[in-house]
Amino acid sequence: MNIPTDVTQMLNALERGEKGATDQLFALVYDNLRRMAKQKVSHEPAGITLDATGLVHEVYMRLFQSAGEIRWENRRHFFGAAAEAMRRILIDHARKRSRLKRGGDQVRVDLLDIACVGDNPELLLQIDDCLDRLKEEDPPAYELARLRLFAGLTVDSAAEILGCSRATAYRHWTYARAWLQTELLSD
Amino acid sequence: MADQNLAKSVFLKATEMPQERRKEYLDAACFGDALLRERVDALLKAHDSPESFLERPVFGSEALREVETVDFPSEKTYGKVNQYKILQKIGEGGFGLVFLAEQQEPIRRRVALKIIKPGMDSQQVIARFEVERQALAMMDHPNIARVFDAGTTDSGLPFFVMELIKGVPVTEYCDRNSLTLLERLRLLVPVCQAIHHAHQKGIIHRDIKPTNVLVSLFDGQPVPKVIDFGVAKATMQPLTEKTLFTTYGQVVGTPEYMSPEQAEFNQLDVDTRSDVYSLGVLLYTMLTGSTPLTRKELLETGIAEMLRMIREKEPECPSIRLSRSCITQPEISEQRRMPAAKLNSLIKGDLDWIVMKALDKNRNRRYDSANEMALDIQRFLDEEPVSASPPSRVYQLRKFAMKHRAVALTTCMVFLILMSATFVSLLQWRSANRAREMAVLAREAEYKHRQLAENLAHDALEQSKRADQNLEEATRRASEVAAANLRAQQNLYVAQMNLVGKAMETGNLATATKLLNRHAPMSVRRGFEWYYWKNQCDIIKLQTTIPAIAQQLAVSPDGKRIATSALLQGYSSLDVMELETSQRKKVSTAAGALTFSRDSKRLATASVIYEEPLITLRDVDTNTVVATIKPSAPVHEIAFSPDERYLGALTEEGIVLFDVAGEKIARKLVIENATPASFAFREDGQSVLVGYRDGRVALWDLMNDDRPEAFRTRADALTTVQFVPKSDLIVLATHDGNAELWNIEKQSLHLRYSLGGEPFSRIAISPDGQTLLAGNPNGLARVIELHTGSELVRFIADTEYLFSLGFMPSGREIISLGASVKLWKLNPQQCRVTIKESAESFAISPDGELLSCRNCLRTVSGDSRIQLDLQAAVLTAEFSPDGRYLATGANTGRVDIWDSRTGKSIKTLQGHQKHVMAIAFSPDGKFITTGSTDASLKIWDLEQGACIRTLTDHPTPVTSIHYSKDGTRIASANGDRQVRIWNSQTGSVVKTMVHSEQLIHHLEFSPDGKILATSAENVITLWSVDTGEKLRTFEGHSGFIWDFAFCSDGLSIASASQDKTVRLWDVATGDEVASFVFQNPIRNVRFSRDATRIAIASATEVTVLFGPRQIVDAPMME
Repeated sequence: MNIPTDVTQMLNALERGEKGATDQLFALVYDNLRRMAKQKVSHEPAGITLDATGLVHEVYMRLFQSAGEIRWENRRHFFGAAAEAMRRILIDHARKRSRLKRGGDQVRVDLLDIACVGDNPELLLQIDDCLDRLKEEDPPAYELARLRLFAGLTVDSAAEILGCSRATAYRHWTYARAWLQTELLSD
Repeated sequence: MADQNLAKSVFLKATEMPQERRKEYLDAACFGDALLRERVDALLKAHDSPESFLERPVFGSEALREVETVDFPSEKTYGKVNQYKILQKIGEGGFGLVFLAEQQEPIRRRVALKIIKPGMDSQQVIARFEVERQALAMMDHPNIARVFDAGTTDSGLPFFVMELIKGVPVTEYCDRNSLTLLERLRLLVPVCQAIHHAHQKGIIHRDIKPTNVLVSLFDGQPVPKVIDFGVAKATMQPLTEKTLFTTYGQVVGTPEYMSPEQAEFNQLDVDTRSDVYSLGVLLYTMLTGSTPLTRKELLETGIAEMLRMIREKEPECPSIRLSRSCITQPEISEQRRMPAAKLNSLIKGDLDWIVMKALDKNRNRRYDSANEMALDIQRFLDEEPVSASPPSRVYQLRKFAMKHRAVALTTCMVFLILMSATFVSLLQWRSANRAREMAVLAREAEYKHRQLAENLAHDALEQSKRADQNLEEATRRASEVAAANLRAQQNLYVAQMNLVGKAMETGNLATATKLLNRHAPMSVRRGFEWYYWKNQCDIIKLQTTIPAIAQQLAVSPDGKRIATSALLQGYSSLDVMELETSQRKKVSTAAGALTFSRDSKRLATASVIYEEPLITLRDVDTNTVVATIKPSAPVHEIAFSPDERYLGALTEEGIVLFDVAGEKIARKLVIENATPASFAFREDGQSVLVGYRDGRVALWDLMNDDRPEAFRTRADALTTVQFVPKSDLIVLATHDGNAELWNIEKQSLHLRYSLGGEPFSRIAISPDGQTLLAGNPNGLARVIELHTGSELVRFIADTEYLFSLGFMPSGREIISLGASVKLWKLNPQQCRVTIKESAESFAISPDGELLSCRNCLRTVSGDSRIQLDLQAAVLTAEFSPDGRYLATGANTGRVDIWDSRTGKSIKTLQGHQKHVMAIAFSPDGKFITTGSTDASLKIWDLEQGACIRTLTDHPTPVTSIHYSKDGTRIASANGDRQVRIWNSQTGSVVKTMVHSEQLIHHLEFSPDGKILATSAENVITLWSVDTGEKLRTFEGHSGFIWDFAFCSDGLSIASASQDKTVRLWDVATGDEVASFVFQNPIRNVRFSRDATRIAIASATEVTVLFGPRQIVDAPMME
């Protein structure tokens, strides 16, 4: 995938609201996140915990620094896609791992799997489930939680990406956090 | 199920209030709705649970903490923070937001309030700040923004209160205003000094970057201010991967400006040199437009790699970066108002070193302090040698020594092992003696040890061999270092000579002398310029400084006493001083103009007492008033007539002549509508010269009452007139700051002097009428050869202002009045001679005594001048190596040989068809080679007067010819822009060197014959004779170089240019060593063979500069 031209074209497509552009962006981000994570894992000593926040940002830098000034709508698209991509990667591996733990199929687990997923793959899957529910109930709070939890954005950045005031963002986050907590406890 | 929206809003409201008020609120808000209350309680419980795993992103067990949910002020929520009223958001950075705020107490002022974003431990931030608060309060520097206060907001966020600076980041300021490199450097010096000030108070900034150095204008002058002192320290978190990125794209610590030691994980010992590094990055950025390690390359890689790069990757030199950037970003050159090539050459060298020294990865090799960096930048700005140097040499040497030491150490250890082994074996041998049964064993042991010892000895030998090799290496290095050292000394010489040149230009002889004296006779080298300048400096020497507050000065005709007067507001005086005894006598409280009588006993002064003009004549010895005269108008200048019958006084209306004996007005010299500016009695006392402000001059005859016709000079306005003693000449200073020499009888202009353009020049003429002294009001004075206008030397007579300048009666001393009275010794020794001769076809004899000018042969001194009996217009001339003959080439193609002593024609060489353009004698003087526009070279046997060879390989006219010193080669240049080197014996072309597109005006072999120099347009190029390779070019002239000459020592070249300068160049480096400015374009320049003189010819005059008096054998160039 020839990244720079793709990114420019893709951003143009996004701005024009072309069909399938979002999917393209997702594929691009997903691909890059995976590749970079793998590359990092192979360069770092075993057992290191990857900083996914850094990872997402590095992907951002890599993809967009050559694209010049990025309009915030596009940043929003990116981080939305990144959160989603990261979520998928994490959930994927959490599933694999939980299968592994339960003595399921002998899936080949590469370093990346072990590094990225928290200690508790089940918890992650639960969170994901809860998030789906939050999405139904309070979409703005869900958006914020997703960016915060899966794209690793700070609340401030998330506010900027979502185009709301910081105060509002903080409120959403406070709420989403407490909400998720209660849901997880009740599960 | 409770209404989720309601639950959310109640929950959020509850989180925003203090714990103790919550219950009350919830009771009210959920009154009667148990489900809602249950839901909100659950949410609140979850919210308050201390260790929520949701407080961080779901991946990575150590991801970023981000806990605060407090209401963070934004531009929409203006309010009050403690006693500060927030007015408006003015900035946002990685750490937080900056607001314009108003302080209410204790004083009302506007401040900048920086609130640190959530995510940091407020307590720690404030605690760290408190540690430095005392020190911060002590900082008081015009280039540092004060930090007034720090605290926590009601919501618990740390904040800082700082002096409000309305400025833009320094790099932005530079680019927006297109500052030149030098202006940029000037802007950085106070920044370095500010940082140094902070360092002395024990404060390290830790976060120097453009956005923390703001430039604002005060009185139209850019003033940089460093902000955020103490903030970085307080808000600093130990560096881990998680703290590096706080918000996306926003990197804490700005990695481009981060020092290598800051990029260490868990770094502890960051010291002042870390700031020096960041200053280096700032300087780099201001110069080149990009940071040494660019943001792009830093962010391209992972964080660990980024930190590694900061710690290890050597950036490219600023000059290299700049040249590369200029290609892709042409605006960089525009923003610096200089073409890319010039930018590069300006930065290359010293500036590169300054920057790279600050940026050294090893802080021990950086500047020890920000101040040293400032000093080095200042040195660069002052064009002095900087302390930074290419890092490699010393460093390499040290590294080598370390290596060497290791070898030495191993050798030592081997020796020790050898010794101990032998000792052990001896012991064992002895025990074997005591117990025979142990003998075999012992012998075996001994054998083993000896074996071991031998092996070790072998190793040791190897080691010592290696050590020898290392020694060789060391010796080689040492000689390299010595060569580098010599080179450095030569560079220093060139640099300092340039400074001397500048000092001479500004008349700063003290500095020039100081610099010249640094180069002792046996030092690297002294070129012609050294001696010439030394001669110039020796012309005038300060002898005595006499403190005085005065505006006017008079010297008694016997030269023994001086009188000074002052009429200043709040201070007036009239003092007389005996020069021999320095005895000072206060004569009166006030006086203006003053003059001594011929017998030096009486002093006339003009003053205004109670608004009444008054002239007083007093006896100096008895201090008694002899006579008083009451003129009708204020008097500006007074003078006795030579016979002392009259006292002349200059008033607004005209010159009033008083009868001294009768104390009455004898005559008034008045011209309608003309205000006199200056007057002077003629020596014979028969006439008075008056200069009028409108530029007219009149000579009043005192013998009759006729009114003279005033005649107009070239000056629009004049300030002073003076007679040249024993002549009909007068000199007048014009209001445009120049001077003119006129013949008063013929009313003809002889000469104009250029005095620098400052109006109200003070002029004085030496008693012998040979020297003109001119000082401008700013204190710069010139010693000028009166009859040629040639300036011998300029000197700073006084640093701020100059009221008066004159010769002492002896003519060997000069007196000046400025901030003090100074007596100077004038040594009329020769440093230059100007000869008014047309200098077409110019040549100077090898001994430097004879000159060939258009149609005559004359000595430099002028005591002999022989007209040559020329048959045709001469185009070129050359003296024979022994100086006995002069050869001239004419436009008819004939070449004449003359006896240079008698001027008699000896031979005529006929053969060329057209103009003879170039002549060269073979070094042994037996042959002469001529070049002509007929495209041929002819070699003549001088004794026989016959052409022995004609070289016709040149397709176009020959422009220049030169013999190599051994006589075996002849080089010639011609119109096809090619240089040919001929074998002088066989006449065959040895080599053809293709030159550039330009026509070659002149060429010469270096004295050692290894280099051929050519000049074309405004560049001199040196070529290797062996390889034909271009060695270097001398660039700097702004006009055609018509001529140049190697100095006989081969170390320098003098070039003559249309741009009216003669320059001296260092052959080894290609650097310009000296530049001499003339009034006219220069056609020719020649060294005498012993290099004691340089003759410089323009179309109208020849100037000979004198260098060393006796010649010391200079080393030949390698």
